[in-house]
Amino acid sequence: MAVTHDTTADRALAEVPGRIKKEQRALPSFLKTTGLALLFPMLLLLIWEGTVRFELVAGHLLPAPSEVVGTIGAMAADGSLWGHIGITLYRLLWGFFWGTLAAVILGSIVAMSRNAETMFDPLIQAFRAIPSLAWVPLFILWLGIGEPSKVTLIALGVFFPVYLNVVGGIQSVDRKLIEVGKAYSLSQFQLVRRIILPASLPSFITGLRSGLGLGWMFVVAAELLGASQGLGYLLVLGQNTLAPNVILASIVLFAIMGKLTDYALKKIQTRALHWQDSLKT
Amino acid sequence: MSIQVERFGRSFDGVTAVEDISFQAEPGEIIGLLGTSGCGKSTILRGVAGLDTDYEGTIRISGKEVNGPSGELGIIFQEPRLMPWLTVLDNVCFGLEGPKEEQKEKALEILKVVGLEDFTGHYPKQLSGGMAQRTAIARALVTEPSTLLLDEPFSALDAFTKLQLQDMVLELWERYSPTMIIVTHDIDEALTLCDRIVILKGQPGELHDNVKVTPAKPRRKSDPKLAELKEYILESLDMTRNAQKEVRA
Ligand SMILES: Nc1ncnc2c1ncn2[C@@H]1O[C@H](COP(=O)(O)OP(=O)(O)OP(=O)(O)O)[C@@H](O)[C@H]1O
Ligand SMILES: [Mg+2]
Repeated sequence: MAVTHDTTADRALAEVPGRIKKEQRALPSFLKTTGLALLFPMLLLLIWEGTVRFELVAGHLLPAPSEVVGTIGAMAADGSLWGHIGITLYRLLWGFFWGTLAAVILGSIVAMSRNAETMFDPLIQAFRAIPSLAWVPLFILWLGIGEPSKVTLIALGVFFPVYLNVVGGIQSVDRKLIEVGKAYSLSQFQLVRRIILPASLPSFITGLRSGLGLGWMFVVAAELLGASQGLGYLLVLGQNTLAPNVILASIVLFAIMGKLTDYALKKIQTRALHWQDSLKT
Repeated sequence: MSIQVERFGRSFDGVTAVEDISFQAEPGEIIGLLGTSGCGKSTILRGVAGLDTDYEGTIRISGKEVNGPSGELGIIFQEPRLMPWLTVLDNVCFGLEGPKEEQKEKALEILKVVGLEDFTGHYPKQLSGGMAQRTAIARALVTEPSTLLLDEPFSALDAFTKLQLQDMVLELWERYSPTMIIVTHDIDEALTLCDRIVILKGQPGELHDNVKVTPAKPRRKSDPKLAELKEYILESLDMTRNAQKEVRA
C-alpha cells in the first residue's frame, strides 16, 4: 500500500484517527460475517459425518463427506478428474458460445426492426413454449449421440434467456438518450454503437448469467443421455456401479464449477457496468 | 441562422397540446419562450430541433423547411440526459468530431467555465442535479452551434451559478452571435438575455404576446425600461393564469 501511495497522502491518512479505527473494525466484522455464514454448513457437515461414522444411516447409500472428498482426491490423483472436467467445460462453453451468438444476432434484428419482430418473434416465442428437453430424441436422431447433439442441446438452453434479454435490453433503451444522439444527427450505425449498445449492456450481461445457469442444467441433461466421459457421465457411472460417493463427488464438482463460472461472469459484470447507478456500489 | 415558426400546432392522440403559434428569430437574435407549465414550450422546441416531425404548420431554419435533426443545432434538454456510461469529460465530447486531443482540450476549457474542471472523471451517477445540468450545458455549448435551443437550462441551479452561466451565454453570444431560443420560467432571466419574449398561454397553448426588449446588452438590472416590461409581463402571465382558472371552473 505505502509504496503506491503518495507519502503525504499516507501521512494525512495516518493523522485521521477515525478512519483508522474504522478500518480496524472492518476486518473483524468481515471475519464475523464469513464465520457466521460458514457456521451452519459446517454444522450440517459434522452431523452428516457423525451419523455415517456411528452407522446411524447405511454407509453404502450415504457416504460420509470425508469419503466424497476422498473420491475426488483419488480421481485427481489418477488424472481422470481433469478429463471429466475438461470435456464438460468444453461442451458447456461451445454450447454457450453458439447459443449466445444466435441469440445476439436474432435478438438484435428482432429488437431493431418492427417488421422482423412481427415476422420472427411469435415463432421464437412458440418454440420457447416447448420444453427444450423434448428435442433430445430428434437431435440424437439427426446428429447422432456424439458431441454435436450435446452442444446443440446446450446452445438451445442458453439461447432463450440471452435472446429475451437482448430484445428487452434494446427495446427499453431510454428514448430520451436516443434523442440526444439524433439531435447530433448520428447515423443509424453510430446510434447503435454509441448509445444502444452501451445502454443495453446491463440487460445483455444479465441474460448471459441466466443463460450460463441453464447451460449447466443442459450439460447435465446431455451427459446423462449418453456420454463416455464428463461430470454427467460420472452420475450415470455412480448409479450403475452402485457408488453414491461418485455421484456425490460429481454433484459437488458441478456446484464448484457452476459457482466459478458464474463468479467470472459476475466479475465481468461489475467491471463493465461500474457506471451503473444501482443500489450496490 | 434565422428561425421561422409558422402556425405551429401539435396534438397527441387527438388532444391538442399547442396550436397556431407563430414567431420569428432573426440571425443572432435571442428569443425567450415564456409560459405556464404544460402549455407546449418543450413541444415547440422539439419541433424546431427536428426531433418531432408530426406537427402542423411549418418551421424554417435559414429559409429551409425542417424535416429532421440537423447537426448544426445545439440543444439543452429540460433534463440533463447524460450518457450514464460516459464520464463528464466524455459526455461533453459526445457531439464533437475530430482528433481526440483537440476534443479534450475544448471540453476541458468549457468545463472550467461551468466550474466542473475537478469532476472530469466522474460518472453521472456521482453528480448532483445541478452538476449534471451544467455538464449538459457544456455538452451543448462546446460545439459552438450556430443555433442553440435551451429548455429551462438554468432552472436546476442556485442563484449565483445561474447568473454566472447567464453571463457565459451572453459572452458566447457576443463572440459569435448564435441564434437562440430559451425556454424559461424566470422573467428576470428572459429580460437579461432575450431580444424578444414570446408569451404562451393556456392549454392547449396559444400565442399570447410577443414583446420586443429593446435595451442593448449587457443590460443593467436597474434599467427602468426593464422594470416596466417586467411589470407588463407579470400582468399578462397573471392574466393567463386567471384565464386558465376560468377554463377549469
Ligand atoms: N409524448 C407526449 N405524449 C402525449 N402528450 C404529450 C407528449 N409530450 C407532451 N405532451 C403534452 O403536451 C403538452 C405540452 O407539453 P410540453 O412538454 O411541451 O409542456 P411545457 O410547456 O414544456 O411544460 P413545462 O414548463 O412543465 O416543461 C402537455 O399537456 C403534455 O401533456
Ligand atoms: Mg418543458
